[in-house]
Amino acid sequence: MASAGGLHGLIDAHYEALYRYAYRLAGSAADAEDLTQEAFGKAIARLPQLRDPDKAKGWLFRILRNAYLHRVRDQKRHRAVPLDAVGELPGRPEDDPPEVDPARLQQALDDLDEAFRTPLILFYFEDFSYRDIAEQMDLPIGTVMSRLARGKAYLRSRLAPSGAAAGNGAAGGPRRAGNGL
Amino acid sequence: MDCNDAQFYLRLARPGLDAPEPDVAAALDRHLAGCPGCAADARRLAAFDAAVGSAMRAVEVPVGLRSKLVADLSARRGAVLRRRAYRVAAVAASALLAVGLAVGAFTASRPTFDPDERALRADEQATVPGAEAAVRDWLTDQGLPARLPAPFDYGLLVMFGTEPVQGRDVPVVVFRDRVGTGTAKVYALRPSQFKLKDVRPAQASGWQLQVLPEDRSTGVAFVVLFTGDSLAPFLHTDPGA
Repeated sequence: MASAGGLHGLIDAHYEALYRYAYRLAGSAADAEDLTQEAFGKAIARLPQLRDPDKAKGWLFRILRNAYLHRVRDQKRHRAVPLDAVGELPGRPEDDPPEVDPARLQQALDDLDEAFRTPLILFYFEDFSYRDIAEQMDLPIGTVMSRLARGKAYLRSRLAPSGAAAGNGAAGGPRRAGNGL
Repeated sequence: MDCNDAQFYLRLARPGLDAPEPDVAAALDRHLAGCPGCAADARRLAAFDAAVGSAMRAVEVPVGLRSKLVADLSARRGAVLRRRAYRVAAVAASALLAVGLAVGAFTASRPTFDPDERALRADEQATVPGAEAAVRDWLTDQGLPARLPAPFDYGLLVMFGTEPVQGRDVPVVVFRDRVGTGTAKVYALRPSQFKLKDVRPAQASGWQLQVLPEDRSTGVAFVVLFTGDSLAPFLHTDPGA
């Protein structure tokens, strides 16, 4: 078992990012807290598997996501937007990008399938490259890029000011998906 | 690069982590410099990503979460250490029990020393298994007759080997008597080493000399120097044994 100092260092370095990730994945503070705790608990048991300390963050994120997916499976929660409802390529961006309300963003994320939500969260956390996200999700990098493009199109439609996206043909798909939830 | 390609790269490229290849980046920059529409899209996309990114990261971390995690970590570590300690203690207790049982069984199975039985068999002499055969083999190796010319009791054998006598190594076989106070030393004298005709009786107090019949084939004479009155205490009580 690793020393308590090493584990405390791991907590200090990553608990905030891990909590934020958990919050965006699960959508509630209570779930995020539980998931963060669970992730560190699992990490303690698996610490010998972490050979490269520089990869600790990605490793912890992966543990947390697996814990989340496990819970979702257990709870049989199905509230996601059908993948087909999300537009493939975004249209022309809005003239005035909206000031994004974090709560509204969370609502949009909550309605999105995890397969799209996770790459979006990791992408906007800015610490993860396409390759990192692909490794996290065990997906080909092309799939990650495609999901990101569709996820961003969906976000643009959901976060657009009311009526602003109405005249945007390409954003119509995602908007319908959002309205359909 | 045309507008379609530019739109494609604008939506995929990220400064820093996922920047396009330098030649692609240069081509994109050239296109944006000459295409006001795509340049405006680039600005809007960057602004959108910045706004979403900022909102994405705007999650307030609960006060006290760190302490909670550290406490949970300590509890988990404590539980793991306790489980490990219990396991070690259980193994140690099992080992101790096994050792205790073994010691108990060994202690219970040990015989009690019986002085009466020993006293009854006090005059018995332990014989060294194979002593006679070992002496016989050794005598043969020395080029001597294989058997001593008297029925010595090999249960009384003390040693056999060579002893320096007047500058010569002489083969000797040593016996003690049954009481343990008398000694008989049987020397094998070769005619090439000693004048056998002039062997004198022992002068030393308490010691006797007896010359046993010479081995005719080798001419070796066995001379016994012994304590006591006769060789009888060193010989088999039952000559047929």
